Amino acid sequence: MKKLRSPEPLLLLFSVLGALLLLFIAVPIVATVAIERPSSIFAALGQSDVRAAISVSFGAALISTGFSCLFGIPLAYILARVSFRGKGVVQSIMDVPIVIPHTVAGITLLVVFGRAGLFSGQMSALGLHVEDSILGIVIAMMFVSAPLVVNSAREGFERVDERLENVARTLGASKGDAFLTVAVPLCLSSIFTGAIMSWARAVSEFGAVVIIAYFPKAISTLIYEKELHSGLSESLSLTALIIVIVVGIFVALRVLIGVWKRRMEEA
Amino acid sequence: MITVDSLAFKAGTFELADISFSVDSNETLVVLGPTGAGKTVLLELIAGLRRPSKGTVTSQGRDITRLPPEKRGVGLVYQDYLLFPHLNVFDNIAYGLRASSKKERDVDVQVREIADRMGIGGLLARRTRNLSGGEQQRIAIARTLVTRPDMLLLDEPFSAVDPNTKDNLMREMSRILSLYEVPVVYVTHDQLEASEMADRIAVMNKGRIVQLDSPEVVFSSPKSEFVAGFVGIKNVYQGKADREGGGSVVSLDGCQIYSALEMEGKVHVTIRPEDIVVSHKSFDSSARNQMRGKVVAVVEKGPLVYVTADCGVEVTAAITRESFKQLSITLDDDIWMTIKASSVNLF
Repeated sequence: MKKLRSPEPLLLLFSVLGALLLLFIAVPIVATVAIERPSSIFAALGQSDVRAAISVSFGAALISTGFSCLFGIPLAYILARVSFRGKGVVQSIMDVPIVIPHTVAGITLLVVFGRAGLFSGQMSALGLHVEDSILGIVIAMMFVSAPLVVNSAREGFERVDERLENVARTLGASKGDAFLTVAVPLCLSSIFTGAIMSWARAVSEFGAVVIIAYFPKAISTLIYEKELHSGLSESLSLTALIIVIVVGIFVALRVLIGVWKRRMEEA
Repeated sequence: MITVDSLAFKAGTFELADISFSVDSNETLVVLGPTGAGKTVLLELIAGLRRPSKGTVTSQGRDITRLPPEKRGVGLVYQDYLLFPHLNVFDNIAYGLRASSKKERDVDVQVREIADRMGIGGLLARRTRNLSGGEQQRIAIARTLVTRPDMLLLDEPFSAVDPNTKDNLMREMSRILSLYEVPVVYVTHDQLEASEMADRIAVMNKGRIVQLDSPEVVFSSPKSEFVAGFVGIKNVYQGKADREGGGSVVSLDGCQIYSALEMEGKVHVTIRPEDIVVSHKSFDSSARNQMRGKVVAVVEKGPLVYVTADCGVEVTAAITRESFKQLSITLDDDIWMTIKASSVNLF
């Protein structure tokens, strides 16, 4: 790593370009929050539709992340530990949600889970409806955010020496015990990072959610609606509120992980 | 006692075949061979971490070939020790006891007991980071032995230790192993380590055991060129020394060698192959030993070529590939071996 004390011209150029990108991302976010008076930002919390939308989005994202971990961590472990034919295909499939437009993702989910979808019979037999339901929102969120858990956990497992699990097994641990007491603890920060990214991605999802479930309104849907019907000024305070909350939670969790990691290393 | 019978394994182009031996409790079998010979794979097969394509592994009279690793009663210590980085020293040693659901009070007693015995009692509360290689090794062995395994598998236990402390650690290891009546399979590529630790040595090459004998036999009567080349401690002779002008002259079977060391009576003579000059003709120099002989073997190994000539006794010289080419030595050539008296070691 170099200190930028007397920078070379090329590094100077790179710094300028990088700084422009940074501003491009940071300025709109900061500006949106800065335009609003703090009091009016939190005043939005007084509206019942806002509170409902927040609990829908955050709750559905939490459930989605839980399911992503439940199914994604085992898959990540397989991808990290086992070589098999078609592994490349599996990995590509996990990347598809990231590359297709999210409205398209929503429509593909309707094709499978919708009222006229492939599994409509089974779904209604079980009393499950995805259209305009929390379940639909969870499914939409999971589709676009599960790959983040899988990829992050896979990278984590790849960094854990498999022979540590071998040692655990010769010491009397079953495969499952070795997984739970050696692989998972050593991969925990990667799993957490993946889960946080996944949760944040789920909260921010709009395209797939709005196609499957306009109601109950998620935050992104509510903001879209306010912007559409009442104009920018109406939606602004709500937007600022969401930025403050989501970025706040995101930063807090990252800091927490950082502190926890450092403590693990120092101890 | 463990018995390995006709064990075979294949993965890609690598193949292990016809591996058979047994190791008594209280015995250490050293598996000696170059990198890539399949030594670690052999240990993982015995441990049940890989599945053999053929053959059986028996421990205490029980066929364990199909058992998972946790049911085999096997202790495995890898060369880099692999302590669990998320656990402290105590919890590392306790891991196996807890895995077999021992009561926490017993765990505490047993961990402290073995830690004291191994001289690591003061480290129990430490994290595994920043421990010396020797400390990590003792913890790894304690972690294994505390589970009272029916066999102990050691994979290059000293390759990560610096050479200065290695001797001490080897002595310490011998002491610890003698406390436990457990068959030990000990893998290494270092012949000195092998000769120090082994009750018997299995020399391994390309997935096969090429010789299985006591260390004395392996080192003195290698059965094949590979074994000779790999374990061959070269230029070791016995003879009778007489003092002569500040040094000695040693009479060997069929020739005499001058040494700058003063000794008398029965001695061992060793000469490092690297200290011998090879030439086609005799030449004037300050070196006191010039011996003539017929080339009986040429072995290329890494950057060096080992040329052995029969000069009454067999003398092996190590020369670079470059000199070997320039001299264009072939079998049955008459060559001269020139050795300074100061390069002739006596003991």
